[in-house]
Amino acid sequence: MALVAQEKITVDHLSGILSTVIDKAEFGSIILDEDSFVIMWNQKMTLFSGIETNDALGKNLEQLFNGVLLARFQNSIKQALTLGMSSVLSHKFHGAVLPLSNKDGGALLFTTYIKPITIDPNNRNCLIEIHDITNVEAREKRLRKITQEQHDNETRLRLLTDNLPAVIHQVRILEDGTKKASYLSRGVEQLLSTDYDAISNDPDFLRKKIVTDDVSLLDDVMADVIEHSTERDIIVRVNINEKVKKWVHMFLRGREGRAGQKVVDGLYLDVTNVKVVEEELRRLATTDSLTGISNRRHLMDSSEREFSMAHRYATPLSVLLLDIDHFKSVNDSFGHAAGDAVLETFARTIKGVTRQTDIFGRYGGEEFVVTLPHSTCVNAMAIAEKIRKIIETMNCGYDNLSVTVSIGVAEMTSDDKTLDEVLKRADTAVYEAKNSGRNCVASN
Amino acid sequence: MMNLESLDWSEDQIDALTEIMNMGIGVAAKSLSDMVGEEVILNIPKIRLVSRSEITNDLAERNPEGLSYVFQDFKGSVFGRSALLFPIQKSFNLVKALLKDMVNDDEMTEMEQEALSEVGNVILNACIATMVDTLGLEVEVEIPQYIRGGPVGVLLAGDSELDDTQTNLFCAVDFKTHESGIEGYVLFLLELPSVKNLKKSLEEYVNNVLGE
Repeated sequence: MALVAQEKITVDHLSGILSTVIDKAEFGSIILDEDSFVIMWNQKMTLFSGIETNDALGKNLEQLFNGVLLARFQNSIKQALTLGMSSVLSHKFHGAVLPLSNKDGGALLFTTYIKPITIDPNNRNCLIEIHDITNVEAREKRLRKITQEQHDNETRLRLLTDNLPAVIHQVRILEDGTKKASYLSRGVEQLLSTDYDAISNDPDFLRKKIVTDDVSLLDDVMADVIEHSTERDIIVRVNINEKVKKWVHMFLRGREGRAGQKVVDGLYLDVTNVKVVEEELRRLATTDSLTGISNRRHLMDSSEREFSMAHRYATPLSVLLLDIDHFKSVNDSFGHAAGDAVLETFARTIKGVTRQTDIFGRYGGEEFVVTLPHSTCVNAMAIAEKIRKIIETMNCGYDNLSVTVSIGVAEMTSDDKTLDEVLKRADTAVYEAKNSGRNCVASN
Repeated sequence: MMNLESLDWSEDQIDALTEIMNMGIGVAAKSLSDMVGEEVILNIPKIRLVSRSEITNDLAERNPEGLSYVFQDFKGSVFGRSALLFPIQKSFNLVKALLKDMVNDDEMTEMEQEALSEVGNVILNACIATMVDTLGLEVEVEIPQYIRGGPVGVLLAGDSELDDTQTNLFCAVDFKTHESGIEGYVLFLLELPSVKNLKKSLEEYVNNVLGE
C-alpha cells in the first residue's frame, strides 16, 4: 500500500511538472479532448488570444473564436483524434489559422502543429502548438534584403569592371602553393583578343602569353608580392599573336584573404599606345630632325659614356671631327634645299660605313663627330681616310654639286680628364686639315 | 516480379495496396488543390516492393546530386518511416510552383521549407490515413521533418535494425501543376513485424472484399 501511495505521489508530481512546463512553454499550447473540447490552454495562448484559461476550458475552438475553422485545420484535428495523424499548417499556405495577435497587438505570424497525444489507449487527445514565427519572418526578410543588395552590388561591380579599359584579376594561393583564379573581368577579351571562358579559370593565363624574356621578371615580382604582402608594378611585353605584341602594365598587390590564405589582386593596363608615344618622344629627343642621326646632346651623352668606359678600362678611344668644306657656298649657289640635301646624304653615307659600336652624330651646322671606341689614332686615321674618299664621290642629287670634307683625328690620352679635351685637339686637327688645302685628314 | 515472389506477396495484395495508395493520393491532391487554389494532379503510376539496398542504390544512382525529403515516423500496429523525396532542384521548383509570391532565390528560406514540409505532410498523411482507415490499423504519426540534400542512406538508415531483406513500399509520384510536372517519390520503410502485420491486414481486407 505504501509503495502504491508513493507511486501515485510521483505520478501526480510528474503531471504537475508537465502542466507547469506546458503552461510556461514558449509556444501556445492547446489540448483538446476526444470531443474537441479544450482541456488545456496555456499562458502563451492567453497572451495570443486574450482568452483566459478558465474561459477556454470546456469550450471548442469554434465557440472560442466565434466562427468556422479552416477546413484543413478542422480536418487535421479530426485526423489526430481519430487516426493518430500529425499535421503542420504553414504560414506560407494558410496565413493565420486562428485570429491571434502578438504582444504589440499586431497580427501574429505563426506555424501550427497538430499532434495526437495518447494518455491512455482508450483516450486520445489532440495537442495544438502555436509557434510564433514573427522573428523568423523578420530575419528572412532581412536576409532577403541583404542577399538582394549583395546581388545588386555584385551586378553593379561586374558591370563596372567588365566595361573598364583594364583587366581585374584575382588569384588565390592555396596552401600547397598552387594558384586558383577567383575573379577575372571581361576586359581581358579586349586586351588579349581571346575568349573569356577559355582562360577565366586559368590563374596563369597572362604569364603564358608574356614574351620569354619577361617571364622571370614576373615570377620574381609575383614571389615578392606573395611573400611580403606588398605592392609592385611592372611593364611586360605580351604576345597577342604571331605578329602583334602589346605592352601591359601589371599592378600586383599581395594580401592575406579572410581565411588566412594569400590573395593577389591584379590590375592590368594596356600601355602599348603609351609605349609607342614614349618611343617616339625618345626618338625625337635624341635625333637630329634633318639627318635622322643623333643630335648634339645625344651624341655627347653617348660619347662621354664611352669616354668614361675607355678611361676606366684603359682602352683606346679616338674621335673624328668632320667639317664639310665650303658648305656656305653650297647654300649660296644652290640654295638651302641643296644644302639640306648635302647634309642628309652626308649623314646617310657616313652611317653606312661606321661600325655598330661607333657613335655618329651631328655636332652642329656642317660639323659632325664620329667617336670610335677601341680605336687608336692609326685605326681612326684609316677610317677617316675611307670617309674622306667616299664623300669625294658622293652624289647629292644635284648636277655639278659635289662636296669634300676635312677631318681632324684625335686619340684620348691618359691625361685627358674630359672628352672636351680630346674634341679640342680634334678641332685643332680640323683647322690644320683646312689649312692644308681641305679634303684631307689631319691628326693631333 | 522476382522480388514480389520471393517476398510472397500475392497479386491481390499488391492490387489492394495500390488501390489504397491511389485513394490516399487522390485525397492529397484535393487538399493540395484547395491549399494553392488551383488544380494539382497527383498520380501514382505503380507500386514496388523493394529491399532497402535496392532502393538505396536505385535512388542514389538516379539522383547523384542528393535528395530533399520530408519524413514522418509512425508507430503502433505498424512501425516505420514514411517519406516524400525529391531531387533537390525539383523540390525547390515544386515550392516555387505552389507558392506564387516566392522570391527567385537559390535557397529556400525556413518558411518555405516549412511549406514544403506541409506538402509532404498532406501527401504522407493522406496515404497513411487511408491505409489506417481501410485496414483498421492503429498508429500514431509524428510531425513531419524536412531535410535538404541528405544522402538517401541517412534517411534509410533511420533504424539500424532494418535488415537488408527488408520489404519497403516504394512508389513514384507525379505532381502536375499548371506550370510544370515534377516527379517525386513516396517511400514507406517498415520493420519486419510491421510488414507481417500489414500483410495480415491486407489479407483480411482482400478476403473481406472478395468474400462480399
